[in-house]
Amino acid sequence: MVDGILYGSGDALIGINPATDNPAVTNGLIHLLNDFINKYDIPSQSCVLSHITTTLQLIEQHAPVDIVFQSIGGTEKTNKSFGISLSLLKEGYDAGLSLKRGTIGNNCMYFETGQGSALSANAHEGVDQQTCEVRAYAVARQFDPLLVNTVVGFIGPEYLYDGKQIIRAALEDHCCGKLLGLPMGVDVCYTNHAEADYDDMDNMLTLLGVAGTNFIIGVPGSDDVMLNYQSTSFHDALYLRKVLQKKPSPEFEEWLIRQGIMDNAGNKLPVKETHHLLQF
Amino acid sequence: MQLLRQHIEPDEWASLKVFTNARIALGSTGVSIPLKEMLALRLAHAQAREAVYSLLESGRLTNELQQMQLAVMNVRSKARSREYFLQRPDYGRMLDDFSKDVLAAEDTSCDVAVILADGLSATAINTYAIPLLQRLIPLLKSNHIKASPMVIAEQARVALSDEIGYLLKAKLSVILIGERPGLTTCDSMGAYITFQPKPGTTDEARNCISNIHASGLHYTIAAEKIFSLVQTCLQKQVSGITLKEGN
Repeated sequence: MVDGILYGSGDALIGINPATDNPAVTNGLIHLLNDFINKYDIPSQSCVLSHITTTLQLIEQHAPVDIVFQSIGGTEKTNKSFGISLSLLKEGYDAGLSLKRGTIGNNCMYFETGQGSALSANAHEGVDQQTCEVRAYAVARQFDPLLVNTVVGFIGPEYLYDGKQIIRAALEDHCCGKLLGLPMGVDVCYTNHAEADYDDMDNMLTLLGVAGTNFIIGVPGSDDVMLNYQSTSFHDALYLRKVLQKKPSPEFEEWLIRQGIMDNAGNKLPVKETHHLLQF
Repeated sequence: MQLLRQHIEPDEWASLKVFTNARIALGSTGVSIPLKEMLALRLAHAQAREAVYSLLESGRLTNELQQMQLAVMNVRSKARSREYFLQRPDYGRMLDDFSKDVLAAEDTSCDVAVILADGLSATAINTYAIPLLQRLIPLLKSNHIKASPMVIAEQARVALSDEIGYLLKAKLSVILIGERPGLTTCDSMGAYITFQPKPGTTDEARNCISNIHASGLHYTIAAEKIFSLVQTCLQKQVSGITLKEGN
């Protein structure tokens, strides 16, 4: 978390994807993030990725949930394989709203999607994977999401075989998400069993930046050590901001400048050992 | 021509590295990752690619299981090669005809079908399956839970455990399987538990314990967790998302 923040990441969401769905552990992490954000007065929101039923259970226990997470698919069967239904999503959405934690808006949902998830659950009903994906966006649209993230290269080579296919799918997803008016972002990523590497991700990142993607995912050194795949690094985000003159969200930018993490021109500043974010 | 040494800006929070395998505090050159760290990433990627193409040491595994007084059966999925396996997950979820016959001919019923499967890292199974089973099997035995012969499955996906469990008439299946290799870990093992396994079961009906490797979840603790899940599943006659850990 500190690694990301000190590289200027985290304006959209600060998240943890835990290796477990254990409610007590999840609850602990939600509180950890909430305390961290409050302590340093960070203009962002947090999300611990857990199944929506776990999140619901924790909201009942008054956990400080900013954003409700769920993976969604584009057919009823796919969603069933995720253990969800539209009414359950509605329940999660209402529960998220009931906490009234929004300050400048009430978009309290974070959805993850990805081409091939329906086929992977054998729930595609003979429909192609891009159409299934867009149907998932139609599901997302019903719940005013903060973020919709296509985890494009996560699914593996059986659905998107190589770097070229992953990049094509990312641009398709981005385009379709935008057409549906969604806050669409992409996890620029690949797995180790796909025919893709870091160079493909550099290309994809740049293409998506030019295309105006709403957000990207950042993990330390581009290596997701929990899910065992590679995404983009905090460094990558800085690269994209630099070459395309993109800025963090305004209130977050202001905060970064105030913290001495970034200067007015958007340059990353060296942070000393004595910086208060490094006093644990 | 003058050779310019690029300035590398170190990150002042390198002390946090003791808490995580994550690539934190890499420093930067300009806004980018320094060359040394970039090369380390690429080397790790090459090693992970190698793990994907690693093979199960079936002979050695069989010997070691037999030394534990366990019967062993060898089966294969319909995926005849790694390339097929990667491109056709459906093949990886179906037994080939010969394997089907072998399992169907096994005429004893059991509580738990135990499966060792290569998945995406045979290295993981080669390394951790035996030590884990050396703890799990005695736990099952002392609680009168009957395990099937140990089934070693090649070119296997998680859902192959459904067909295997079904043919062995098992109440429950436990499949130990190599997880998708990551950069810091290319030998991580997962365990999936499914009550009343049968072809067509989907993932919401499974419980999973993942990240079993040297710097992740220790196999001793993993064995206890699996055992406790097995007990709960048999007791509550269900597995999957309705069964939450700790509930």
